[in-house]
Amino acid sequence: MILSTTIYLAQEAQPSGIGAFNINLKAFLFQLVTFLLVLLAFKRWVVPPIIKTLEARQKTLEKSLVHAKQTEETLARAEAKAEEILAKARNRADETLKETKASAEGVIASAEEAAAKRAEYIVKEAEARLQQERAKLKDELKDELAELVADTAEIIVRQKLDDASDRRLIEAALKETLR
Amino acid sequence: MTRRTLAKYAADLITAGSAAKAVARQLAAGLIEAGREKEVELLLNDIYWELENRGQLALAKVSTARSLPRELTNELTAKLKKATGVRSISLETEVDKSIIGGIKVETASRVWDETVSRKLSDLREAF
Repeated sequence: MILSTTIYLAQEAQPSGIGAFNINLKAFLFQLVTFLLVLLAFKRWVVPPIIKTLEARQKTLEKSLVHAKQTEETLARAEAKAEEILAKARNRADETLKETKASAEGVIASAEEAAAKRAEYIVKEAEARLQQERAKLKDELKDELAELVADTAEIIVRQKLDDASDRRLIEAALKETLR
Repeated sequence: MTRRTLAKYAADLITAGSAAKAVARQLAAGLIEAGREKEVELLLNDIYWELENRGQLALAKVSTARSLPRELTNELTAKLKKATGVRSISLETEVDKSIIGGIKVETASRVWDETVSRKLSDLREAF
């Protein structure tokens, strides 16, 4: 609308003075006023919200940057912490493994010692039992041998002992025993 | 009255010169009256023990595998008198084949066992 108005006014005015430059002063002023009015309107109602919005956007961006930086720092700290925790866990696992290994070695040594003692006890017990059995057999053999010798002696004496021999035995008994 | 007291009483009577038969009757009556007939054998042993210890009499039970000849019997009697220290010896002889040989003499308080069976028994135990 402003442009059509300007063209109309330019067609109506005749050049004089400044108009020699084909500039219509009224139209120019009118346009200038219009421009100023538009400029003022822009400055009053359009620019402030835009600036405000831009400032808000900038603040938001700054805040986002700060937040991102903080997040990055937090992440870095978290990574460091995680690394530390992992290192600690690794150390603890190594220690636990060492302790477990040492404990297992102790248990194995203890079990071996117990097994050796048990084996020694079993061997000793077996030896003692064997000794007892041997002594028992020896005694039994001795008794049987004594019985056999006595039986044999009895048979021989019964065969060999006649009246004369028996008399000599009695005489010897009277002489030696009844004194 | 205990058996030992009865034995001493009987030994006193015999030592004093009472007849053995009379003493025996008296003791038998006493035992029957007291209901102690089963003790007769034990009482006799006690009386012999008492008489032997007093040097009066010893009853010797002699066991041999064969009958003992007279001369050996006499020798045995003499030896027993000396060994026991009694004035007289009463011998009870028996033949026991199980002793095989030798002689066994048993009085109320002593035993002499010189038999072959005892020596064989000793041999068995010696092992």
